[in-house]
Amino acid sequence: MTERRIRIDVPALTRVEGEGSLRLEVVNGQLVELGLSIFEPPRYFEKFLEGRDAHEVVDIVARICGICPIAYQVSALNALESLATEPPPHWVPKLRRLFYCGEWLQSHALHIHLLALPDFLGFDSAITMAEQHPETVRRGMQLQALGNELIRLLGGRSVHPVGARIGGFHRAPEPEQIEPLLDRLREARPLARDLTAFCAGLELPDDPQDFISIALTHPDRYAIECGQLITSTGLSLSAEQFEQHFHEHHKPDSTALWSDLNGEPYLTGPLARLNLNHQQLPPVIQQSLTATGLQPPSNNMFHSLIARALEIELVMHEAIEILQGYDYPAAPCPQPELSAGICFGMSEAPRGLLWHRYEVGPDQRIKAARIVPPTSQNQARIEADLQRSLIAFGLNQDEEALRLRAEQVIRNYDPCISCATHFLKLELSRS
Amino acid sequence: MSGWRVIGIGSPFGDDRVGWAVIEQLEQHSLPADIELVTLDRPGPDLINWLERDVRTVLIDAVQTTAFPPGHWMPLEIDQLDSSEDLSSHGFGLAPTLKLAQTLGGLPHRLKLIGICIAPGSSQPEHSTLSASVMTGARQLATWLAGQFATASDPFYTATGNGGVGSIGSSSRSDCSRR
Repeated sequence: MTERRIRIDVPALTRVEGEGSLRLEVVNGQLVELGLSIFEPPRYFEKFLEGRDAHEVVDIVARICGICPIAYQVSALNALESLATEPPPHWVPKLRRLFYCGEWLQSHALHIHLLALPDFLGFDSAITMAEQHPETVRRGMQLQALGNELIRLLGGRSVHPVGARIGGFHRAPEPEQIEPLLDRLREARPLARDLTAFCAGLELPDDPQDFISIALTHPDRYAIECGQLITSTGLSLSAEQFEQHFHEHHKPDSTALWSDLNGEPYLTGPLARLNLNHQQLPPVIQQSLTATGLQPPSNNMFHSLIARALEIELVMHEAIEILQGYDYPAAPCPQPELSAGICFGMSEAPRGLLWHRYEVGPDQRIKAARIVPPTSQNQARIEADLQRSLIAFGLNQDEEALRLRAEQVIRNYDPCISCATHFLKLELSRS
Repeated sequence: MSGWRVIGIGSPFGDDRVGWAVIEQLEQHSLPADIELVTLDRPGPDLINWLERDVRTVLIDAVQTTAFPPGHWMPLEIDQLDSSEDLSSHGFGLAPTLKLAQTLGGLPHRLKLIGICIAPGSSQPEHSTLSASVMTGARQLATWLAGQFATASDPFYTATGNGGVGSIGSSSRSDCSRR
């Protein structure tokens, strides 16, 4: 019998952040090897933090990621401020949510328009897509720019912002900064509504699969900057309880740690959030959700695209609400002292749950730090999804089609390998 | 003739800072009121937001090369830029940024690209200052630009030098500001 062997090697996956590879081997129509490797060098941020003053953490962790620095800052602040002698002033939590809305807006807008849409519209890049869909790309750039404006408002700059600190912000926005930004947000809202309808109108692959969703939840609102961790399996956990159920382990071909929930892969990110928190969406966003025809919980991973679009609508709505109610604070934020101890914090980065743990000494210096980013948590889910999706797609498909589908599946998670390395190239063998 | 936006792209790291250094040098000159000086930390979507069809623009960035001495500056064309860079949510090189702007019809009608040569390896995080030769190049370019802006004729009618080598790009991670 003649053996038919195909080996696909994607040595550097494009339109994702960071460096990883995919190896795929098919022998006589059977998938015999599927390996997602992350070879970007580890970044050792947890080690860098040791010995630093706790008040420096917020600026150091912002450097972990150029696209979701606020997530790192807010998770760290949620942890460290739990050791503070006094809570931040009442206006701070609202502005932290506004700050975070900017990050979701710019990150989701870029992912949808520049990274994901070329897959679904049949182009190899946003540049070739822009020739036939210029208005689509312009919409993405406009929404992304608005997200950056929100970040600048509170962070001073859009990349690695420096505005947040333990106890609040270094400065509050000036009242005259608010109205022009509100006008731009109001003007762009129809773009966001159009985007949701546009994404829902795409011919997305219909590939139902079982997976566990995890997300923060909040009794009063769609969780972004804080909340209690819940799972589709019925767990409800505080940040302190995370390590009792979530475990990280090394894999030989990955510089990122792999995570499991009591031994099982799980999903974190926009679709998991929508699945668990859709009832928390404001009525106007509920209307958009209803119009898409998507009925959460969804078991189609490709619905992540629609979830991101809905979350763009959500954060624009939230940003408008917060800015409309903004009053310039009467006094600056006090800088609280921190007591020694172990503290935990978490928030919903654009790509999913971001969990931090710090041990702070009596001298307010960091004795130990642990950071669990969303992409490393999603690695096992991505590999399970690839296994399931490629078999469903048909292993007899030609190499180019298999490679493209594999890349679509991976990009759908919007992986940030650099954040995880603590990611892609495809090698397919088949016989 | 005046009415230009001058954008310097750079980073805090060694000679990659030269785009910012040219803007800082230009600030020391008496420029016409409608010369707008902008520093950017990286190409990418933010740069596209600074490119407008009807705003004449000079774009200055460092060029890593060994073909010319550090500090040598020269005009470049878009198709001379290294187009091997990929688009990702984080990485968005100058060549794809300008190509995307061009595809979207947002490229300035008048766009002058100027590259200043820096040596490979001279923009590492441990380098806190510009090398003397690159700083000299930055000063000379700023003086030449200021002189061009002060003339009554089209400042870039007579171009100097000839580019076409190396890769242009900036690797910084801070942000933009209008000066």
